Amino acid sequence: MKTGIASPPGFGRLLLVYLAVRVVMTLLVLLNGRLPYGDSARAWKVSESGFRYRVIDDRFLDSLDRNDSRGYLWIASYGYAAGEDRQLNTAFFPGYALVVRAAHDGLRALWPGGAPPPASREDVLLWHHAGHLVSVVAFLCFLLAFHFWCRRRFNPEVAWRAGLLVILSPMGFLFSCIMSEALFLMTAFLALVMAEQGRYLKAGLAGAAAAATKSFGGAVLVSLMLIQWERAKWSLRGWGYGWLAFLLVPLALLGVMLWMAELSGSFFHYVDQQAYFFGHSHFPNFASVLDLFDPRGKTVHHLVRDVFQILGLGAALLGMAVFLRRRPAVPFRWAHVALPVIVLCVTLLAGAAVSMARYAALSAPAYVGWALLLDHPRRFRIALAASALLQAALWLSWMNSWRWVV
Amino acid sequence: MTWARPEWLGLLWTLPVIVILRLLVGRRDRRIVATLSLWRRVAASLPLRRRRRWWPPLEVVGEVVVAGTMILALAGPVLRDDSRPAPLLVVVDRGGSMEAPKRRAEWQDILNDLAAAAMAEGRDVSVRPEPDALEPMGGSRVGGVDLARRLAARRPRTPRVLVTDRRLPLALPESVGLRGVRSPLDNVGIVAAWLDRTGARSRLHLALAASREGAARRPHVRVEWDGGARVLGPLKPDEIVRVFDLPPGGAVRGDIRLELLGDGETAWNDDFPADDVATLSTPPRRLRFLVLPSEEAFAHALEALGETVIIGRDPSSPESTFAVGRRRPPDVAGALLLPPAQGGAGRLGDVVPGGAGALVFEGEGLAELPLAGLKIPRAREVSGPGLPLLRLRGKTVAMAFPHRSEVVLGFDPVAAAWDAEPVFPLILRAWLGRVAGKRSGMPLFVAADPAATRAEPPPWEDRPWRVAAQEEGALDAGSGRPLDRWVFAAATAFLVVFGALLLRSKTL
Amino acid sequence: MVHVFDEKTVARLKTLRVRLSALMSGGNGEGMRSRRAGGRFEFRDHRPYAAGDDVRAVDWNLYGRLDELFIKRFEGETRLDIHVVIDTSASMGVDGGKKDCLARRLAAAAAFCLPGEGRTLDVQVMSGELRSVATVTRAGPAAARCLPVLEGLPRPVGALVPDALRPLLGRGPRSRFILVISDFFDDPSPLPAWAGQCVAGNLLVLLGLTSHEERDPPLGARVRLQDAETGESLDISIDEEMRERYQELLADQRSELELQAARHGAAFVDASAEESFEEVFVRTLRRVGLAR
Repeated sequence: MKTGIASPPGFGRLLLVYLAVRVVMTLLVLLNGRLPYGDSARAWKVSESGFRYRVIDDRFLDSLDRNDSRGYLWIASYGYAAGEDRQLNTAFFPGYALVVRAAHDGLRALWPGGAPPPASREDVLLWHHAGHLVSVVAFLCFLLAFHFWCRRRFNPEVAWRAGLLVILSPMGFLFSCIMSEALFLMTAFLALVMAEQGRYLKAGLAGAAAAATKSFGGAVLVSLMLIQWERAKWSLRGWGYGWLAFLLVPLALLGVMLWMAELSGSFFHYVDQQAYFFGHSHFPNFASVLDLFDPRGKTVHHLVRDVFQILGLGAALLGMAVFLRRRPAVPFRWAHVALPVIVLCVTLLAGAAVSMARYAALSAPAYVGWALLLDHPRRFRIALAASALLQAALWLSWMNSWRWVV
Repeated sequence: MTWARPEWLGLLWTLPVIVILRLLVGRRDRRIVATLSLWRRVAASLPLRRRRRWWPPLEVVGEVVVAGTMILALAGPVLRDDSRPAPLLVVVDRGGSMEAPKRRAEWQDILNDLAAAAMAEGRDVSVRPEPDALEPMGGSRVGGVDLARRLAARRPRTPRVLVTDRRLPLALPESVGLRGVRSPLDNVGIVAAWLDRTGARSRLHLALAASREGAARRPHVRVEWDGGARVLGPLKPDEIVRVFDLPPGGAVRGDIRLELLGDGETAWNDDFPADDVATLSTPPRRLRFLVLPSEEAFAHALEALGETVIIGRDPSSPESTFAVGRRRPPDVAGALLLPPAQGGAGRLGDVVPGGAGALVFEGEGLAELPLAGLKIPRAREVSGPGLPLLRLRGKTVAMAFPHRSEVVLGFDPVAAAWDAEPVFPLILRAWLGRVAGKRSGMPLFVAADPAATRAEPPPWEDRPWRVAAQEEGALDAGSGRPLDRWVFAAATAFLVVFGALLLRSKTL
Repeated sequence: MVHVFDEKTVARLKTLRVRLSALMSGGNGEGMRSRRAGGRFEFRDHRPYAAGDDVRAVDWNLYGRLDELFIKRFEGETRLDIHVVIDTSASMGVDGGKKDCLARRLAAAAAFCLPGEGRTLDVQVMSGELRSVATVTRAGPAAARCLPVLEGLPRPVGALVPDALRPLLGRGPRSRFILVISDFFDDPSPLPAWAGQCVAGNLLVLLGLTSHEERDPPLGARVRLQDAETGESLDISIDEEMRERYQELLADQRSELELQAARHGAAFVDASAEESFEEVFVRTLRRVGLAR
C-alpha cells in the first residue's frame, strides 16, 4: 500500500453502500408506477379451489415477489401440497421456505401489539416481510464473511472492491428479493470457509443447508472434498476422520429426495417437475447450448435474454479465470471455483433459459477475480457504474416481469 | 404446556445428534511438532479470551442453547391451564348452502346450544369456521371433516363438534360429534337469459330452475324486464327453458328479474335470492370438444387437472392429434375427460363407481356418439343453438354456459347433491373457468352470496366466543397462554449475544 | 520409511559431484584446491568489519540479511578435517521424517564431493552423544560405501544434548570444517554456545532445516500439538491470525540464529526440507564462499 493514501473502507462502509442501493431500488419501485398487479390488487384472495396465491397491495413488498417467489411462499405457507395447478411444486427445494416459515412464526410472535389476525392483510404481508428478512440477513452474513475472507486472502483494497462488486453487480438486486439465492450463497460460502479452517462439522452442516436450499446444492460436497484434498497436500493419505462430516451434504440431499418421494411417489419428482415446468426437456441438452449462440429465428425478447445469459456466463468465467491465475496462488482456489463451475455447467446443459445470469451471480470467486482485474481506480469506477446501471435496468425488468433474466 | 406448532419439535432430535457428532468429529487434531516453544509464545501473546481453554465447550453449549431455544420458540409453547376442562371446539361449515337464511339461523341456534352446554361445564368454546366441510383447501389447511378428524386423533379427550348440512358418507371418529343442519331449502331462479335474433324476429330464451327438498311443488313466478313481463307457472321440475317471441322491433333492456308468486298452498320460499336477477346475454359461441377415450390419457388428464387441456383422438374423425400440455387448437373450447372403464376402452359415458363422473359435451362432429349411464340427478333439460349440452338418455340438458363474467349453471345446486363425487366438481370448475375465459377458479354456483364463502368469524356479539387461530396446534391448545413471544425474544437475544461473542473471539 | 538412497538419488549424487567440481575449482580437477597470488583462498571464517578493511572482502550476502558488516577471512590451508554432524533427535523425525531424509542426503552429498587430498570426511550423528558412523577419505564412487550406513541409521529419537558437540569445536591437530545439520528448534538454542565454542581456525556451518508444515502450519479449529522430544502437549486453535503470529515468531527466530552465528564467525544457512539436496548443498557452499 502506498503511503499517504488512506486505507480502504471496511465493512461498515459496504453496509452503507448496500443501504443506499436498497433506497434507490425502492425509489425505482415508486417511479415505476403501477405494478402489473396494481390494477386489481387485493390484500387477500381466496378462491374456491383453495389456491391462495395472493396479490398484495404493498408495492414495495410486491416488487420483491416475482417468479419463483410464489413457489417459495406457497411452500412456506402450506408445505408441498397441490395448489390450483394441481402439481406438487417440488421443483423448489425446502431450505429457504423452511427458514421463511420460521422467520414468519418469529415475526408473528414478536409483532408489536400481538400477532395479526389470521388471513388479515398484515398476516399476508408478514410472509413477505419474512422472506425479505431472510434474504437480507443471509446476504449480509455472506457479505461479512466474504469481506473478511478477502481481507485475509488478499488485502483490504481487494476486499473493498469485491464487496462493492457483489452489491452493485447486475444481478445484485436478487439477493434482497424473496428468492433462495442469498441463502444459498451464504450457506455454500460459509461451508467452504469453515472447511478451510478445519471446522468440519460446521462445514458439513452449512453444506447440508446449501444442499437443502437449491437442487444443485449437493455440488458443495465436491468443493469440500477438494479443500480436504488440498489440505492433505493433494495426497489421499493424512485426511484424518473429520472430513466425514462432509457426508452430511449428500445425506441432506437424500433426505429431501425421500421427503419428496413420500409426497409424490417419485424419488426424482423434482427433476420431473423442473423438466415439466421450466422446459428442461432432457439432460444433457447439448442442442440448447448451441442454440444459445444461434440468433436465427429468435424474437427480440429471446435475443435479449440470450445475450444476458451469455454475458453473465462470460463474466463469471472470466472472473474465475483471473482468480485461478492469481499468483501467488490463492489457497483452495480450485475448491472455490469448482462449485460455480458445476452449477453453470448443469444449468447450461439443462437448457435452463433464463437462469444462467442468476446462477452466474452465485460465483464468489468471480467477484474476486473482477476485483483483481479492475485494479486501476478509473477502470474500476467505470465498470462499477456500468454494472450499477445494468442492475437498475434488470431490477425494472424483474419488477415488470419482462423476463430479460431470471 | 402444549405446543401450537408441534411439528417443529422434531428438530430437537438434531441437537443431541450434533453434539455427539461434535464429540466424534471435533476430536482434537493431534500433531507432532518439533518444538512447542514457539507455539507457547504465540498463545501467550494472544488476548486472554482467546487463550481460555474452556471456550470450546462453552461454544458447544452456546450453540445448543441458541438452537434449542429457537426450536422451542418455533414450536409455539402455550401454557395450559389444566385445572380447567378442555375447551369445546366447534368446526362450522360455512359453505354456500349454509348461508341460506333458514340454515344460517339453524346453525346459529345449534351454536348457541352448544355454547350454553359447554359453559355450564366450565369449558371455553372455540369456533373454527371452514369455508367448506369437505373441500381441502390446499396444503396443511384441510376441510372441516379432515380437520376435525386430525384434531380428534391428536387429543381424543377434547370434544369436537362439526356443524354442517352435508350428508356425509364418511365416518367421523367417535369423539367428533356431528350436528346436522337440515332445514329444507327451496330455490327459484333464473339460470340464464339470452336473446336470439334471426332476421327480423327476436326470441327471448329464459332458463329457469326451481327445486325444493321434499315434496314436489310447482311454483308460480313472474319475470319482468324493461319492456315486458310474463307470469309463468306452475314451473315443472323438468322444465327449464321458456321462449318468448318478442314483438317486431321489441327490445329487452336491463336486467331480467324473477319474482316468486305465492299461491297459498305451495308456500315456496326463495332461499337463494341472488339468482333472481339475470342479465341478458348473447348466445354463447359454439363450442367444440373432442372425446378422449384412452386410459392413459385419462391418467394424464387427472394429473394435470385444471391447468392442462387434453386434446384427444377422435376415432370417428380423420383428425387425430394427441398432446398433453398447455397448447390446444384455437377452436377447441375445453377439456373433455372420460374415465377408463373396467377393462378395455369402454364406452363413452360409463361411470366408474366411486370415481369420476363422465361428461360428454356434444358439439359439431360428436352427434353420432353413443351415450349411456350418466347419473346427474334432476338435471334440467334445455335445448338451444350452440349450447354445450349434456346428453342424458336421449334428452339433452344445458350444463353451463358463459354469461359475461360469470358462468351460469343449468341445474339447481341444492338438488344436485354432487358432493359425493369428489372429482366431478373439480372437472367442472376447471372447465367452467376455461369456457368463461377465466384462469382462476369460479364460484361453483351463483345462487349464494359469494361473500359467505370467506372464512370470517361468526357474527355473534352476545356470546363470549373465541375464534380459534388458524394453526391447528393453537386450536388444540385451547385456552392457553401463548409463550412464543417470550421464547422468540429469548432465542433472538441468545443468537445476538452468541453471534457477537463468536465474532469477537474469531472462532467462527 | 522412504528409501533414502535409491538408484535415482545415487545418480544425482554422482551428477552433483561433477557439477560441484566445476563450481569449486574453476573447472580443473576435483575438490578444494588452494590458489596463491591474489586468487581466492579457501574460506575460513568471518570477523566483524573494522575501519580500513578491504571492502572487497565484505560478505555482502550476510550484510543483506543481518544489516551488519562482516569480513570473510581466507586461508591457503588445504589440509583439514571435514565433519558432517546430523542431528538425530526426535524433532528431526516429524512431518514424515523429511528433515531427517534431507540431512542424510546432504551428508552423502558432502561425502561424495568434499573429501580429497588431505581431507577426510567424518559423518557423525548427534542426539544424546556424538557418534561417528562413517569416514570417507576419497570423494567419488569410493564414498558410496557410506551410503548403506546412512541408509541404515535408526529413526531420530531422543533429545539433543548440546554439550555433545563441544569436543569437535575445540582445537585439534588440523583445522576443521564442521557442518551441523539440524532444525535448531531447541529452546534455549545451543547455536550461540556452539558458535562461541568454535575456535578460530575451525569453520562452523550450521544448516537449519524446516519443513513446509513448520513454516506454514495448516489451520485447525481444535488442535493438540505434542512436542516430539519432551512429549508435552498444547491444546490450541490455529486460525489465520495465530498462524501469522507464529510465522512472524519463526522468522524472528531464524534471523536471530543467523545473527548469533555471524557474531561468532559461524555461518547459518536456512533451508526447506522440501528442497532438493543438490540445491541446498550448492547454496550452502556458495554461502560460505566455497563455490561460485
